Amino acid sequence: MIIAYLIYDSYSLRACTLTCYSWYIAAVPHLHHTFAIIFVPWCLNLWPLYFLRSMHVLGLLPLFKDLRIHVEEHLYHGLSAERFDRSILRYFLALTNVRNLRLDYLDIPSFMARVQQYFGHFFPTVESLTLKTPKGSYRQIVYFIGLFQHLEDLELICDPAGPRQDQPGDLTLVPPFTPPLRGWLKVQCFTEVELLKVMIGLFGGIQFRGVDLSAVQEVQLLLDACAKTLETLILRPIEARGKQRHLGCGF
Amino acid sequence: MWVLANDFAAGSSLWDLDLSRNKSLRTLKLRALSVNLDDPPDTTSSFLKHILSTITSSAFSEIIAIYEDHHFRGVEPWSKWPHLREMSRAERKKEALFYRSHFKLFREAQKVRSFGLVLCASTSGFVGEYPVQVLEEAVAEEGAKRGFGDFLFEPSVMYDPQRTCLG
Repeated sequence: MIIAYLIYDSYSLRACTLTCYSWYIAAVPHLHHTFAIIFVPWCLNLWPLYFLRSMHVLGLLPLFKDLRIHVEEHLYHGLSAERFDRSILRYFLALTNVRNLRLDYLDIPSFMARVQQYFGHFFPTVESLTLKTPKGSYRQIVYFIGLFQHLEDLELICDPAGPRQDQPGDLTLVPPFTPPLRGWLKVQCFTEVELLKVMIGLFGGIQFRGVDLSAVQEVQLLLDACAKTLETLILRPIEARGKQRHLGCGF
Repeated sequence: MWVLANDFAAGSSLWDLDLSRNKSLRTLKLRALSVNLDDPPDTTSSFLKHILSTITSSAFSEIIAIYEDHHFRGVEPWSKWPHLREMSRAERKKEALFYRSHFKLFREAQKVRSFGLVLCASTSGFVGEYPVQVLEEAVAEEGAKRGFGDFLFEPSVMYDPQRTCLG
């Protein structure tokens, strides 16, 4: 009961784990809820490898529900298959209960040949997917989204990077599943509405119940696409201010 | 990464939004409400009235105003981990004025369409329940002064703490 009260206060929760073994058992799933893998420029893959290995030794990797993978785009040209060498992949596959997945600068074409090998263990469990500036054609991005068969929430941050036109080979790409997508659609700083149109076309419509749009073009198109199901809409009145310039979003 | 929102939203103005086709719409959530008391609230008020005038859903019943760490003067939001700080009496008075201006905004909007109001503290889990207390005090003070007869139901306060990764 006490632990449940403190699940959002990580410092207090950490102190609770020292009280006794039963408190540790109760607190540890909340404490190790979110895991961030960050590829930093000065030590290549060693930093993520160090953390993955130490978490694996303690048997904590299956506890993580929220996984965020960040890579410095300008240094690595995105999160490509190259970043996942055999040693990292071994521990990466132990993350078996991830519900919320965030991937920054994901280089989708580099994973296309063996996407199941890298991300297959996420497909049955992930319910919420965030893609920040993914690389690849529209169809490749929608194909990737369509791999997550139980996906309810989708968040897109910033426009896709890299080749934006569908390649001839992409036209045969059909998402293996039509995810339910009945939760939240969050879109930030997005002008390439074509991606959303391709998604609506390939999934045969979208049924989000909540929509959160910030600095997005063609807002009306998205609202109309969810006309029958939309229950909650998030607006930022600050964005309605005429020509006044303001900071819209920060990451 | 910081982006100028107007540069992106230039193609489709929020003023053109039409929610008349969204027949299941129940809730409108407002984020990023102004923290600057000197801001003329006219634009926000006009925008809110415009949006409410386009809603035709019979299920629509509430507006949720979301307040984050930076809305609360007693929270130091820009440090590594948001935390509470001491506040002077003058600062407390200013904080009360801030919410009063928002209640005024929502009372104006009531004239277009009736709704219930929920104030939501969507703050970092580190700062505890201080934001909820501030919002509850604001509601109690406003209720004592002007009452909430024009709202669909009496404003309530909800707490939506955000989980932070310790890293």
